[in-house]
Amino acid sequence: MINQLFLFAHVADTAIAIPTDELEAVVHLGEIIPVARTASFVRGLAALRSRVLTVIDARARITGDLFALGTAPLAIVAEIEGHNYALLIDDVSDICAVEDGIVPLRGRVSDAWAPFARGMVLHDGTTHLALSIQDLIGLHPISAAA
Amino acid sequence: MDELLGEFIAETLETLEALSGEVVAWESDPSDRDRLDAFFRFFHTVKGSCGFLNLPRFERLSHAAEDVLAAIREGSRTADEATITAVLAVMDRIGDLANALAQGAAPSDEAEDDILLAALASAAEAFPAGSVTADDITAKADDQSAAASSSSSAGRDRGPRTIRISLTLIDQLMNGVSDMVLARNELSRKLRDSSVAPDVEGSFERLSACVADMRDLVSRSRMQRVDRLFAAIPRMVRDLSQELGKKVELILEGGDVEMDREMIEMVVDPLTHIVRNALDHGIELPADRVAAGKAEIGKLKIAARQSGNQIVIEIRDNGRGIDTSALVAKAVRVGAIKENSLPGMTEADRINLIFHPGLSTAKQVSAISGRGVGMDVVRNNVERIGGVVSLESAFGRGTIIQLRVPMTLTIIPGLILRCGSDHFAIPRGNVIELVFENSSMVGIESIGGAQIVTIRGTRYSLIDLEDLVGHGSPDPLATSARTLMLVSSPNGKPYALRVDAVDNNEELVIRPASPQVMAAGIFAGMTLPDNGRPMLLLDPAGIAQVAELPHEMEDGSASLQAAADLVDEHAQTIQALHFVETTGQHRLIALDVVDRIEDIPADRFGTSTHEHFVRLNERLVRVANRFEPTSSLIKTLHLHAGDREICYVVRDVIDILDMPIRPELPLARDGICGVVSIQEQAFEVIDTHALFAATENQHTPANATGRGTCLVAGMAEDSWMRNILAPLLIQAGYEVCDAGASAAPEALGPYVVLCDVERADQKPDPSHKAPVIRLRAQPGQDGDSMESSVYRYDRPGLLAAIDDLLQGQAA
Repeated sequence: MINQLFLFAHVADTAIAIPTDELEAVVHLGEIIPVARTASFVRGLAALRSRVLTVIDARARITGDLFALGTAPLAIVAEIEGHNYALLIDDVSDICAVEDGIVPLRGRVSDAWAPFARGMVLHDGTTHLALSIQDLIGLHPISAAA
Repeated sequence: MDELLGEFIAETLETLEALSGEVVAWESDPSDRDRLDAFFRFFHTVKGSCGFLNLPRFERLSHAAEDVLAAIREGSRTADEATITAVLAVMDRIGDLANALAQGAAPSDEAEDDILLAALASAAEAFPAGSVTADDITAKADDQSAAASSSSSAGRDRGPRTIRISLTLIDQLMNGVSDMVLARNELSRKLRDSSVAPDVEGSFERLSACVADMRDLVSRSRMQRVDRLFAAIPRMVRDLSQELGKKVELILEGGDVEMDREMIEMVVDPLTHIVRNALDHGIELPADRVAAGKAEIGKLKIAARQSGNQIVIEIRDNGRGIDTSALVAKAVRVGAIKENSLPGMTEADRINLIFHPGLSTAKQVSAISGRGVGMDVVRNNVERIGGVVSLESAFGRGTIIQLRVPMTLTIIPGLILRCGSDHFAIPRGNVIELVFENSSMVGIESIGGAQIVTIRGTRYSLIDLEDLVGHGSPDPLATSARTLMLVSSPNGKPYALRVDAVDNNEELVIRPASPQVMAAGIFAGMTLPDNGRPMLLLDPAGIAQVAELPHEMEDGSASLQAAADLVDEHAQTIQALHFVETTGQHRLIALDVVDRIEDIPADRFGTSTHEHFVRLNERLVRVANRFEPTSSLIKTLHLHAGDREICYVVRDVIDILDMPIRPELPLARDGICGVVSIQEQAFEVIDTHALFAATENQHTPANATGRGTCLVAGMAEDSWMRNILAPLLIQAGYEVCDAGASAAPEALGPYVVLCDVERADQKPDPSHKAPVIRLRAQPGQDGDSMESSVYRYDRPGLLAAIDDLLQGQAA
């Protein structure tokens, strides 16, 4: 298999892996300006230099729980369909290449995670759920089969 | 035209390049519908563009190829190898011709086109082994491209030097510059906090100026006036209407609206298609129009305007409209819709069938349009850039097509407003007026939960921005009065938006917001002001929708209303001239009173203390307004009413608009009779009555009440009498004669003699018993003299004395 680079991180205390070709950077965000009348997981807007990022709370998106954000929360920056996003995550553990890439899921993931899990990535002796930023930002409804 | 041609060539070559990758794939699977459509659109676009660029060879080739592809689309032909080869050969030929055109080289022999066309036709007749084989064609095409490339080194370096740059690069440049601005601001803050040497500040100022210039330039590199979009239309309309034997009056509006370059490029094709359709299918032949009781000359109006977050381009014709029943019948025939779905279709659904691929109501396919490709291409192109096409039509009366495209990365003037701790921007063009809620002309009431505000007698819906953005109700103890913004929304009546305060007025670079944010429905985009805190741009129309304000036009009657608009457009409006005052305000004046517009040399203008005038053909004409001459030619409006003529100095004349007869906000002061709102812009309307009334008053000085003759003594020898007194009397409305010259003053009717008390030679003959006014040179009492006298500079006293004596005689 091809050696694929993954970013390993945690969201809602769950180990996740995201292919690095989907993301640009991991940054600490400054002030987040809330935006009214949007989905709860849209935390608002943040500026990264001259770019304006739409801040998506990955935890809220997956579990529906809204936690207060600490100062300078950590986020993955990605550009999707011409818009810039910041995806809030708990922490980042590593970026490295994984030989096998994404492998099929084993076991049954909970309902909250099911729509997002695209498979598993094995790294450092632990299993990470493979996620896609595309799914997490909630641009398109996720098909049940995903 | 050269620019257009250059663009056509660049575009054609670019599309060809993109399509060349598809060629092989298409050959391997000729039934691939998407690829077929892509090729079809290419030919259609080429045909459309070259029609008005007057490139008959392109047109012939592309039309023929389009015909073949259309037949394949309809399924009446199969895409066999010979057909595809022939189509591709035509494509190559178009590329060669475009290259030759670009380099100014002699185009290849036109006769060779015939070979290609014959090949197309023979393929069409299913004789793949016809007079010309596929190999022949490709060989010919190869020859051509070889010839073209050999001549390519020839005519370079002509015209303004330009390169085509990818928009991503410009975007990156824009981002880079924005980063620079933010860095500058940060530095500026730090410099303020720490005291630095003045020369550092000087350098910093210079840097700031450079950054600002840079930013302007980069923004400008993306922006273009809609004029560019309109440039080709008049010619196209002229040519087409001649070709079709139709009479069309074209009205273009809003050319000064600025639009993202990318957007303009994307809108050219759809707009071209729509205009062609309007001429071909919309506007009827003159005879038919007359028979239908319409003016012989059809009207086609294309207007661009900025509407909040969007640029709206409206194409309006008063032609025959769309026959929905024919459209539905056709749709059923070609299987686009099922017969049993008919009863459920609304009129809007029926009209929207026009966007269905492969449908067209034209009875005959013409070279101009009418293959039904137009509208689906239009919609595809517009939707690809996040726009919307809407169409309203009244059969027999006309069609209105609206293209609404986002104004991404548009720079708009905006107002920054505060709501709680949040700041928002709103397009300034949408804000009609700002008032404080505690102002005496504002009354706020609440009826059955609805909030209504009355501003100067007009009732508006009131929306609290806090409610919309979820801050809860405002703090009732807040001391400062809040602000009401009267906001015009594109789809209804203005409404009032209550906010905490309006802070600022800024040029904003608007960028599209992500779909998640747009989902809120009240935002039009976002912007990053210099303080680095992202800010959202409010969408006035969206707010009205989200707040569920009653629509002025109910949906069902919207198209009827629009149809009525087409007919009665002039009933409630009069034509008005839109001009810019010397002070910069945009105002309107009724067109009827404007005689003409003229540039007059500045040296013909004159000023007295209270009057401005201008010399026109040896006459002096009053100038109604004050101005500072800024150039050698002064633009003036000549206003005419009855026998009065006045000049009105303006900075510029913009356009003629249809203005509602009744101003929406009647005023009557300072020469303004009210404010009207036209196309999201508010204009003050000049009160022409007051204007003429004002000059009327000045014409007849109030003090001259009586009529009669003044006999002025010593007019010949006394220069004061002649040069100062006589003109004053004439101006006051009296006849003036030299007392010495008039032998029998009684014959003149009422009269009075004026003389200088000091001068013996002016003493009137006592035997005359004439009414005499003696003038003295000194102010003060006249007691020391035997006879009473009037101080000669006591103008009111003098005129009153004259009046007295004249009226005494008249009685």
